[in-house]
Amino acid sequence: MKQKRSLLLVAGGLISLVVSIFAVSSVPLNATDAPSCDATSICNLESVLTLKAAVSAVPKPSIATPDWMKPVATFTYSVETRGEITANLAEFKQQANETLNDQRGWAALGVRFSEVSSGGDFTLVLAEASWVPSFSPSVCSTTYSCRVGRYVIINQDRWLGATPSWNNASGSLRDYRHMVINHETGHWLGHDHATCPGPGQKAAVMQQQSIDLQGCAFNAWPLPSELWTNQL
Amino acid sequence: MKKHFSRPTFSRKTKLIILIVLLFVISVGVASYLFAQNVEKDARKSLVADSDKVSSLTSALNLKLADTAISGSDKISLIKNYTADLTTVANQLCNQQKGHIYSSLISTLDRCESATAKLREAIATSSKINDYLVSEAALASLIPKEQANSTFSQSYETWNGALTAIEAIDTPNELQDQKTALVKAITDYRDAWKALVDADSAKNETAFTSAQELLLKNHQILIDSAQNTAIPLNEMTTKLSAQLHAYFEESKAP
Repeated sequence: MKQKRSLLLVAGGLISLVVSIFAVSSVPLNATDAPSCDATSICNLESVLTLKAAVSAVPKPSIATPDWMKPVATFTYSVETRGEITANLAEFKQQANETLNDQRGWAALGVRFSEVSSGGDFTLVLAEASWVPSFSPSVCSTTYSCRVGRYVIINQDRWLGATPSWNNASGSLRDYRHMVINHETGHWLGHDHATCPGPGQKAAVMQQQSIDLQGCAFNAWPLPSELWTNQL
Repeated sequence: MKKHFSRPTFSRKTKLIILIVLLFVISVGVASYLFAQNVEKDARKSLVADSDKVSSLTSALNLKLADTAISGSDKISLIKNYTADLTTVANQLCNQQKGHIYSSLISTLDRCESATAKLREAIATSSKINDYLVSEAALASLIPKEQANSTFSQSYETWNGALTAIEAIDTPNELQDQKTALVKAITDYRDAWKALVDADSAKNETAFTSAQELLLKNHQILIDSAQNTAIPLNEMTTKLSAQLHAYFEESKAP
């Protein structure tokens, strides 16, 4: 019985061996395999190829910041609130920063505006409407935004709803927010109120567009003639 | 009247002449056969000798291709010379035997013709490999090596010029896919430079920043395109190998 089992094992092993040899020898060569390097084929041609190496050697472009993008100065500002704030403060901070650093705006002077946690060159305030006059009852009202000294005060009602005249003219809320930030910061930069340069023309950003357009078209950004500051 | 047919009678002299003629014809036949056999043997030897020559030409070429001291352009010249050498061999293959008076008696001539045809197929492939490599090197030579401190405009002009030159190169079919991929990638890269130039001249920071991002992205696409496009060289060398193998088999068959 034991002998029989051994014989069976040996026979099985032999069959497996024969099958393996047959399987290995019958595997066809892949047609895309590179030919072996002998007298019946050319090999080592890859070393002659240069295109891949030439393209790979193209250096990653290193772009120098153009002079016009280099800031002449950086103005720092902090953000504060007054009263009960229902607006999204994070959105206020983000949109104000975008507006201030937009090349269509005061950033075109070559300046950067950088928010700091406290202090800074000026303070941007988002204030509940009833709190606005507290900065200066003679300058500020509960209706509009204003600037007093280092404080650039944005009236929360205007931030959330613009003005009737703006809305009636189908101006977007985002554009109103650009305009009001630019206008009040413009005061801090040294600008007084401006008048409409001519009927049908773009309004100056320092014009009181929330009150009266004087025949001008709404405009959220400083005109080229307004691009100056006495803060530098 | 009964007609009688009688066997022709030859005189002894005539018989002798017939015998001599017969002997002459047999001798000529035997001599021709032996001579043809000799020519046949020569033809076989010549076939083998020529295939040995092709072998040694191929081995010599492989040695030089493996030599790192030899430049790429010199290696391309070597392949051109190899193709020319094979052509010379093919043109001379069994030439002596082909023009022989007994050529119709030489059976090896059929093999000569067949071997020549197979060698010519290998020559055509070798020539294609050479054309491919020449065009590939020409394309590579047109890829700009960017200079440091170039202005945006200069970089744009460099890539625009390279693109025009690359498009003008006439490439063999085998290189067409690579050229198409390269032209596409370079066009996008050049256009990104143009966007940067425009943003710079407009002093538009937002456009400048996005042009800068596009430029870096398209640079990577350009690099990847070279890495990912299939190179048909292996296919061509495999084909050449099969053709040379067929030629050797024909030449060295017993």
